[in-house]
Amino acid sequence: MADAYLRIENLVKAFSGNVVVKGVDLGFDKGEFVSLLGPSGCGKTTILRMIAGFERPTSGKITVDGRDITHLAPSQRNIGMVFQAYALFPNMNVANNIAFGLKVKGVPAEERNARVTEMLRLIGLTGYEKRFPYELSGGQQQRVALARALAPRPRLLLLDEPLSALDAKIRVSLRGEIRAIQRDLGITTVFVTHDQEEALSISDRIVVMNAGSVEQFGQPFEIYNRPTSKFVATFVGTLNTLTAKIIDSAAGTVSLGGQTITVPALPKGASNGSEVGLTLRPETVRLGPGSGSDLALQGTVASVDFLGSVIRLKLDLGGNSISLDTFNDRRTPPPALGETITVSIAPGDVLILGE
Amino acid sequence: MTRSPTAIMASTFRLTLGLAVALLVVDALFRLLTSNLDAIPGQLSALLWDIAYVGIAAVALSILSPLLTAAWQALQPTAQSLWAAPLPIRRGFSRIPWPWVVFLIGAAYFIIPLAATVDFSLKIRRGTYSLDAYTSVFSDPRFQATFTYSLLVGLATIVVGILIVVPAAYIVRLRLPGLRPFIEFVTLLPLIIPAIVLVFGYIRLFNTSSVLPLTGSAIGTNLLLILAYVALALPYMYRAVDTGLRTIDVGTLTEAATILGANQFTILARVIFPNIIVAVLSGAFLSLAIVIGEFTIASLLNRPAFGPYMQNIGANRAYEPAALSIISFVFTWLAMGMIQLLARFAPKTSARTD
Amino acid sequence: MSNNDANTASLMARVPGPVQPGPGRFSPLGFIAGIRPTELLAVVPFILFAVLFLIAPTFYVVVSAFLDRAGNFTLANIAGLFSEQIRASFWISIRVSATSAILGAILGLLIALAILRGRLPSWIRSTVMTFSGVASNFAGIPLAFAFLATVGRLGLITVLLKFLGLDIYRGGFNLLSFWGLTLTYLYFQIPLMILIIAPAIDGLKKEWSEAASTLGASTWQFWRYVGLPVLWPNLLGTLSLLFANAFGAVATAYALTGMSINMVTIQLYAQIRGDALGDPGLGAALALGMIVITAFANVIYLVVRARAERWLK
Repeated sequence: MADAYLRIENLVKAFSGNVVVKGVDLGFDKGEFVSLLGPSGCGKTTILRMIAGFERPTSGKITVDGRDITHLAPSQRNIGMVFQAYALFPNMNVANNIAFGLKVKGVPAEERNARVTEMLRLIGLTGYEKRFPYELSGGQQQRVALARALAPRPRLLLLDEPLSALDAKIRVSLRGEIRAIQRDLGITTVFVTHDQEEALSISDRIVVMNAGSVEQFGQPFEIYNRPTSKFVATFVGTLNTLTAKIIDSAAGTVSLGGQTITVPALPKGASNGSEVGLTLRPETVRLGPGSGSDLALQGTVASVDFLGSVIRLKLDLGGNSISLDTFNDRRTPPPALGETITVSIAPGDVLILGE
Repeated sequence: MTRSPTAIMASTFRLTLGLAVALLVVDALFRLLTSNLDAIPGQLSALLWDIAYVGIAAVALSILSPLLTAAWQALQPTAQSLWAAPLPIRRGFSRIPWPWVVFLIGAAYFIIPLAATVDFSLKIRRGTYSLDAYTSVFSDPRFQATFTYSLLVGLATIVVGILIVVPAAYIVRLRLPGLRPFIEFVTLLPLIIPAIVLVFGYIRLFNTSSVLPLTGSAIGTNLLLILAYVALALPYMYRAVDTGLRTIDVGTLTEAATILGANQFTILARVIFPNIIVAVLSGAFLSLAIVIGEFTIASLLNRPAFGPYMQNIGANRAYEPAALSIISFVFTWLAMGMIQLLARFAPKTSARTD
Repeated sequence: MSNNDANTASLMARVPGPVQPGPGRFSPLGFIAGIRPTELLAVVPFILFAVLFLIAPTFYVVVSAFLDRAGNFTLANIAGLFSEQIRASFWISIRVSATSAILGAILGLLIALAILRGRLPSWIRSTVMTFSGVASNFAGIPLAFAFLATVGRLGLITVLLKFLGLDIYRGGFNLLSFWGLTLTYLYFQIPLMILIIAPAIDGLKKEWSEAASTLGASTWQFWRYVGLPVLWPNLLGTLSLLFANAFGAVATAYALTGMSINMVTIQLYAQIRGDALGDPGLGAALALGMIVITAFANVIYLVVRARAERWLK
C-alpha cells in the first residue's frame, strides 16, 4: 500500500450537503486491474470522475506515482477514459478519433498515423480507419473508444461501465478483450461496474462499495468466499440464509432442523438459545446425504430452474428455504417438483455475517 | 520535448497562415458588406494590400518563431512538465467569467430599448411622467377598431389554419407518408418566399378581372387577408401539430377507436384532436403573435388592421408610437406566456412511441 | 430542457432541415391508388390551399417577370433590374440581411453557449428562452418604434449620451442607415438564433467534452475540433434562415426609414402601392430577384449541409 501507484486518501465528495463519498482510502498497484463494484448511487462513479478530474473532491487527496493530481485539470492528468455511451466524436472517422489525443498534444502526423495503425491492430479493427462512428456496431465503437483512450499512452485507464450498453454476448467477449489488452500494455486500470459477475471475472482486485464507503477490498476469490459483511455477501453472488438456534456460543454449536452442528465463528456476545442466521452459497449445498460431520437436511423441491450447465433448485425445508446449484448431468434427470430429497452442507462452508 | 528550429518555423507558419486566412475572410466580408456598390472596386484593392500585409506578417513571425519560443521557454522554466505545480487558480484572460459577461451584454442590448421605449412613452407631458400616451391610444376609436379587426382576423386565421393543417397532418402521418415530402416542402415555402412576393402574386392573381376576384369586395379581401395569414403561419402551425402528433401513437389510437366503431371524422375530432390540443394551441398563439401587428400584407390589401394603424400613428405622432410598441410587446409576451402555460398542461400520460 | 422550450424550439429547429422522404410506401403517385374518399377529403383542402396561395402566386410572379404588358415574352423586365437604383437596392438589402444574419448567428450562438454551457443559474436559461420566443416575434412596426425611442434623434440613449458629451449622430451614427438597420434587425435575429441553436447545443453530449479533456484537449481545442464541427450544419441552416428572414422583412425598415433607405422590399412595396412607377413587369422582376436570392441562400445551405452531414445518420 505504501508504494501504491494510484493512491486515494480520505476522499470526500459532497453535492450541496449530500455526502456521496465518505472518506475513502484506497491504493492500487502499478499494472493492476481494479473494479469499483456497487449498486447505483454508491459513489463509485463519483470516485472515478474525481480521479479523471471532472469532479473536485470536497476534501482528500489523489496521487498517481507519488504526484498529487487532486487539483489538476482533466486535460493535464494524462489519463485515458472510456465512457458508457461510447462518446466517440461523431464528426471524425475512426482514425481521427484515435489520433485526437496525439493531435491536440502536437504530435507530428507521421507519428500519429503509425500509432493509429498500431492501435487498430491492437483492437482488431485494421481497415476501419475511414469509417465513421455511426457505421460501427456498439462493440466496435467501444473498442475504438478504448483505442482512443490508450493512444496517447496514458498513466491510468478509467473505464466507466463501458460494457453496460452492449448485448450480453458482446459484453462477455469484449470484456475478455479489454482484459487481454490491459495485461498486454500493463496499464493500471480502474473499472466501474454494477455487474458483480463482470467484476469477478475481469479484476485483479475488487472494491465493493456501498453508500459512499468501501465495504471490502480484495481479490475476487476473497470477496466471494470470505465476504466481510452481509452487504458484500448478498451483493456478490446468491446467498441462502437459514435460521438456527444457538446451543453453545462458546463452543460454536447451533441447532438446525433438529441437528447440532459446529460452525466456524459465532458473533461475539450471542447468548445461548437466541437465533442466528447461517448463510451459505448455493453451490456449497450438495445433493445426497454427504459424509462425516456434514449436515444432512431433508426438503421438498419447490422449483427447478434449468440454466444449462447448472441446475438451480429451490428447496422447502419447513420454515427455511434454500437454493442450491448442481451441475447438469445428462445421465440423471433433475429432481422433480414436489419430490422429497436430501441435501448436505459442510459446516466449514457456513458463513456467519454481522450486518 | 525540444523541437528543431525548422519544425517550429513550419508549425508557426501553418498556424499563422490559418489565422491569416480567417482574418482575411472576416476582413473581406466586412469590407464587402459595409460598402456601397460603387465603392467595391476600391475595397477590393484595399483587400489585396491587406493580403500582402498579413502574408508578410505571417512569414516574419515564422522566421522569428524559434527565437520567440526559446525566449518564452527561458522565461518559464517549469512550463514544460505536465506534472508541474498544480494549477487550481485560473489566471488572466480565463479568469474573467465569460458566460456572465456575454449574458449581461446581451441582456443590456435587449432590455435598454424596452426601457427607453417605456421611458419615452411616459414623457408625453413636459417635465413629468404620465400615462397620457396610453390613455390617448386606448381612447382612440381607430385603435379599438383596428385592434378588434386584427384580433378577429387572427382568430379566423387560427380556425382556418387548424381546419387545413390538422386533418392533413393526421392523414399524412397515418396513411399517406408518401405525401410527406410534398407537405414539408410546402410548409417551408413561406420561409423561403418573402411575404411581400406572395401578396404581390395574390393581388395580380385574384384581381377584379380574374376567375376568383377576391380583391373585388370587402368580404373577399378580408378572406384573402385571412388566407394570406394562414400561409404566413403555416410553417409554425404545421410544425406544432406535427410535433403534437409525434408524441401520441396515432396509429394505435386510430385502430383502437376503429375497433370501437368510430368513423374517421369521429376519430379525428374526438380522439386525436383532444390529444394534440395543447400543441395546436401553441401553434395558434404563435400565429396570433405573428399576425396581430402584421403590416405589409394588411397595408397592401388596404385592410383596416392594427399594423397599418400603428404605421400611421408612427408617421403622425411622437409619443403614442412608443406606447403602441409597449402594448404590442406585452401582447406578444402574453401570447408566448400562454404557450408556456399550455405546455404545463400537455398530456403526460399519453402513449409515446418515440 | 423544460417542456415548453422543447415546444417552441423543436418546431423552429426542424424548419430549415432538408425534406426527408417518409418511410413506407413511396412511389410516384402510387399512394393515390389505395386512397379512400375520407382521406382525400382530409388532404384536399391543404393541397388546394398550397396550390392556390403558395405555388400559383409564386409561379405567376416568376412567369410575369418574363412577360410584357401585352403578354408576350420579354427580357426587358429582367434587364430593368440592372438599373443603378435597383442594383443598389438589392445590394443594400443583401448587406443588411447578411450582416444581421452573420452577427445575429455569432452573438446568438455566444449567448446560447453562455446560458446553456456557462453554468449560469437555471432561471436565467428559462428566462432567456422565453424572452427569445417573444423578441423573435417582436418585429415590424413596434420594433422600429422602440429603436426610434432608444437611438433615434430624440431617443433616450442618444439624449443620454449627448448629455454626457457624446453626440452619436455627429459621430456618424444614423438609425436610418445600414448600421442602424442592422442594429435593429439584430433584435429579432439574435433571439431567433438562440431558439434554433439551443436544441442543437443541448444535443452536444457532455461525454464528448469530457473525453476531449481527458485526451488533453483544452476547451478551445474541444470547440475547434468537435463542438463547432458538430454544430456546423445547424449553424449554416440557421444562417440561411436568418438571411431570408431579414431579406423579406418590410415593416421594420419601412417604419424606421420610410423611403429614405432604398431596400428592395421597400422598392417592391412602392411598386405594388403604385407610389413609384407602377410597372407591374418590373415589380414581378423584383419579386423574382428576391425569390432567386433567398432560394440561393437555401441551396447553398443544402449543399454544404449534405457535405458536412456525412457523419450524421
